[in-house]
Amino acid sequence: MNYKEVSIETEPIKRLIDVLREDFKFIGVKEGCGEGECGACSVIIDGKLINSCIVPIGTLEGSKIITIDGYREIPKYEIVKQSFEEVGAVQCGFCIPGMVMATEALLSKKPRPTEGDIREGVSGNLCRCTGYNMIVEAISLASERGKGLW
Amino acid sequence: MNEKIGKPVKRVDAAEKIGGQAKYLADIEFEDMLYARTFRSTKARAKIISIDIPQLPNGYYIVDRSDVPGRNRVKIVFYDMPFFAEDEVNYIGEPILLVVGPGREEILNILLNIKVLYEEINPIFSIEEALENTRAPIFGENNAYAKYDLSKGNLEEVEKSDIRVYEKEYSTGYQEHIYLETQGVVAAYANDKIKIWGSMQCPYFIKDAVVEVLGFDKDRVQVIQTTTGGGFGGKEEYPSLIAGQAAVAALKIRKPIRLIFDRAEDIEVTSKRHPSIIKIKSYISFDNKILGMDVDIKIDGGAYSGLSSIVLQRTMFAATGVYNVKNMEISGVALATNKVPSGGFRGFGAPQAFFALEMHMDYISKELGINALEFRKLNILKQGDTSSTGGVLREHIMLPEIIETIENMSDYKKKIIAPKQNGILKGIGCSLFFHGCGFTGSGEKDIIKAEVKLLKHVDKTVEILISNVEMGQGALTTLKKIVAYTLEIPINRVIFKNPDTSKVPDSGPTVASRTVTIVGKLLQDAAIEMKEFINDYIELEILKQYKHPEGFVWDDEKFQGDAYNTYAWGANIIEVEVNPITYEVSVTDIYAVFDIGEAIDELIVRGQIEGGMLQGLGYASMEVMQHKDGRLLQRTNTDYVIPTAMDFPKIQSKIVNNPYIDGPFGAKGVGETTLIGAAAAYALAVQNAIGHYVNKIPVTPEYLMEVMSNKN
Amino acid sequence: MVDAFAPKSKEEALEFLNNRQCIIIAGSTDLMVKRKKWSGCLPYFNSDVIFISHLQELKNIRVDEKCLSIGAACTLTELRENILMPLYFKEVILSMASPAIRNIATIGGNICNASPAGDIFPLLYDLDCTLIIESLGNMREIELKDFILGPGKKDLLKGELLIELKIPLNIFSSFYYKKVGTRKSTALSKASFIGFYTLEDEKIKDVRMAFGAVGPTIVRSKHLEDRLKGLNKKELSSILAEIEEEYFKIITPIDDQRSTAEYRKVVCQNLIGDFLGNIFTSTVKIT
Repeated sequence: MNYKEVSIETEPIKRLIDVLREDFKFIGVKEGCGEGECGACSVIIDGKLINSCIVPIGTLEGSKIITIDGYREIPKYEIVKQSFEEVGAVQCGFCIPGMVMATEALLSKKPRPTEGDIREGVSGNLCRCTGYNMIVEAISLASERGKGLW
Repeated sequence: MNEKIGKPVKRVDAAEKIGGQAKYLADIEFEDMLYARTFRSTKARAKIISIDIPQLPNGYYIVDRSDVPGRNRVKIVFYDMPFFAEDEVNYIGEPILLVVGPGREEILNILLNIKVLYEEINPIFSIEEALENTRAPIFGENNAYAKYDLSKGNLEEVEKSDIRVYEKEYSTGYQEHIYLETQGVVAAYANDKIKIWGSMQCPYFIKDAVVEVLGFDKDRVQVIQTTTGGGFGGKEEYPSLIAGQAAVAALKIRKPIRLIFDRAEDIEVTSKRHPSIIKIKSYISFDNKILGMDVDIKIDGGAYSGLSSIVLQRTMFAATGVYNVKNMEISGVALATNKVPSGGFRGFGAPQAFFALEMHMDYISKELGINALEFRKLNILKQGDTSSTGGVLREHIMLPEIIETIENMSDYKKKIIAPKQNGILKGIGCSLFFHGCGFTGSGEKDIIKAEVKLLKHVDKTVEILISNVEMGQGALTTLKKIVAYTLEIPINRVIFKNPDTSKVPDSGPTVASRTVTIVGKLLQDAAIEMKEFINDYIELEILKQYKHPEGFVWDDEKFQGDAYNTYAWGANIIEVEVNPITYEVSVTDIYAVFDIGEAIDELIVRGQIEGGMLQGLGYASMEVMQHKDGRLLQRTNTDYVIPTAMDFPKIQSKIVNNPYIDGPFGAKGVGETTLIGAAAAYALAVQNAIGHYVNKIPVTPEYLMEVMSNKN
Repeated sequence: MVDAFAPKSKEEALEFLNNRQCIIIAGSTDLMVKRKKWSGCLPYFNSDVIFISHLQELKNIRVDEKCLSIGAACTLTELRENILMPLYFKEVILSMASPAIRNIATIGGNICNASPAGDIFPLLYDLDCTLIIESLGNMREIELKDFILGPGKKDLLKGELLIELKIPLNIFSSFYYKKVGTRKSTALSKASFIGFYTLEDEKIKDVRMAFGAVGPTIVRSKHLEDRLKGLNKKELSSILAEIEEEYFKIITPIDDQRSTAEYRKVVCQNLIGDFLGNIFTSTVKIT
């Protein structure tokens, strides 16, 4: 979990989001709906973007999980952070950690995405403040700046 | 100096939000904390005959009306809404009691085993039923939370003259805020005081409500805003209810109480935008001038009065919009129904008013056979004209510039007359609108009486002490900018912490597009006064109080005078394509032009434009919220849909420069103006595409199917 | 407390299922939402659970000369990224849910959820999909259309596990897909339609039409399709109205929180008209 080997003894059907937030104190993972609809709880598991509110921990034996709490320590994050800051893509911020995870998942698969690719990449992340366009621009900027990183 | 301030800076809160370090209420751990969950009415309207509570395990409590030491009524405008239901319930979801304890599973278990015996009363579910008043009224004698009339000139005479008359009725639906962070508070009792933390827009509203529910002296209640994940008006008055409940629990149990809603709960029971039915009758001269308007407004206030009277007022003051109408009768009523109470929501009645009005303007133009935008241009307000309440519009009104700008951006003139291509339903629509900045009339002067403090510390940092909050709209950054630029110091020397009522004066709520215009102005004034001392190593506190501008008067009985100190203005143009097979609408282009005085930060303004327009477009198109027998049909994030990143294209926007003399650096309110015109422009574009009148929002494919197959 | 079991192999899974009443969890995207309680609480499962999404035996995708076989535990993303999957399959998958959901939702889970609004169903019905179901020591093959019994109901007995989908290979001239959702992404279907046709000598050689979210199960009529087979353009025009009427009789949507019965019916009518009306006038059409 976040680049460290961990183990936990708990109920296998416990939601990953509860394990992350309550057991490991990774509070960067936000609960916006608990229904798998809003993406605020997005994490990356074995390279895939996944909503942590609908995954039982028991299915994740041996998996690699990355949350914003760990991701913000690595160099790629800096590019994403600066892009979001410069474009002015952050308002209330609640959706943003999920958007950052979606950005990482997208750029890992498509390092030079089109606008359509980006919109699809964050299509499962709801935002009520920004209207998305500035977030899309931030991700595009990150992909330009991050040449070679993804 | 003006140019420099607009230049964007990195928002001061962005970094910690991006990295997930910003702590929202649910992220904060409170020692010894207990969880609370609400037990709610399952009946739309009933007497509570009895409540059967199961045996409670050790450490678990029920908190209800019997635990309220003070007044069991939430202070909003009237005092009709209880914190905990007493002998009756008036909507499905009404809070009856809290179950509190250390274990959430056990709390759920207790909730399942609480049995209530209800005696159902005939409910009232619609505006029509409320008006018929054939059942026991929910409020007063006739279900009316508020009823107002507003007159100007002499409409009777206009009606008698040789004139063309056009009449139509329009309706708008509910809207739910869906701030990404749900509502929540934590209350704790220590050292004889109650402390409240929460996601909120108005710390002092909460403080006042908690003072009353506990019967405490004011200095025994402290309210602290936590980083707030969106508000949009939904956290204006609603948090007062849950803060009061949590406070009563904290006082009873002597442990911190955490009351945070799940999403489905939040959707189902928190306040919503008022649905409306608006009928407009316009009297048009033979040279295409609007000589008179008769507007009848009905809004659905739900089960308790809340802010309905104020929303109704704003709807009425916006009813004739940006047009110079010299004779009018505007009547409005806010009705009680047995559904979730309606409340504050970005725009606050103006989106409803402008939807009806702008649709009506196109209706008239169609009947007259003239271009809709040309018809509008003939009638727009100018400097020196009087508003609907008889106040003189003292500033230059930028409507001609706004219209010209948006016409050029969108190529509207060509597109509106372009012949229709076979089989493709393309349309374009244009709306014009305004938003009054600040509280209505004498609200700022007589009710809020905002006070701000600017505190210069010995180390030369300057701290902003106000009760207005950052909720995503950028207040943190813009207000720091105003102070920093005035004092000519770097922005990182300005401190602005989340408001704590024990430390900040009451500068009023974060609503009504007043934060920059009113509070920012006071901060600028304070900074100006501080300037000469800025480099001294002394501590200095400057207090500024709201001063009503000279010559602005308001009669709150007759609704006459200057309803607002200033207005922000705007135009939206939207282009759509309607799929004739599925009746789905695709927006192909969005244009928006605003006069918001001056941008304190261009990126923050753009963020408000992008977000406001999308929220307005959601309101116009996909945000469907219906009731059946008093229960919301769309009550999860799955069923109540808001726009995703795939639903709308880029927005092209511009702001026109028109500094407001009484605004900080010329700035006016932005937050609501950006939402108000979107629904009308969308509906007008669809109407234009399909060649049939559209009379309600949301404009769903289902509605379009009815309209296009002439089933209406 | 609920016991959870993560079998190491399909055999182990079948043994476990043979011995216990339990809930099968694949991607969990539906179950974890349906069973959700309060934030921080365990989801409500009233019996033991078995996790199967990791079983490699359930994740094969292969093609032989007669059919395409898809493992039930393949996620929607895996299907979308697999070169053996036809393009029309990928298009339908792309319209489902969101990227994060597609990354763990499985096609088997989608089928076993048996939702009338399941987007993949019209496609699988059109393709005459069959299912391979195993239990300890037993295997059976059943047509998908017989497996789904009604909303949320399926012909899956205790001890049984859906292993694989089998789809007879076919070449079609054209594919028509329209999903009407509540918005453009992460949306449940109000109505959906999938049509295939193949022309030969300017006559309809094969045609398939299936409708989703407009009845308790997917609507497809082989009888009506057979009436269309062998027709040329003129013959089709002459019976078009009648065929539309017949479809109208078997499309029985309801009013619900997403849409109205009337709208759903009218849209299906329009879609039929658009699909059949253009059979002879367009070649490859993917809408």
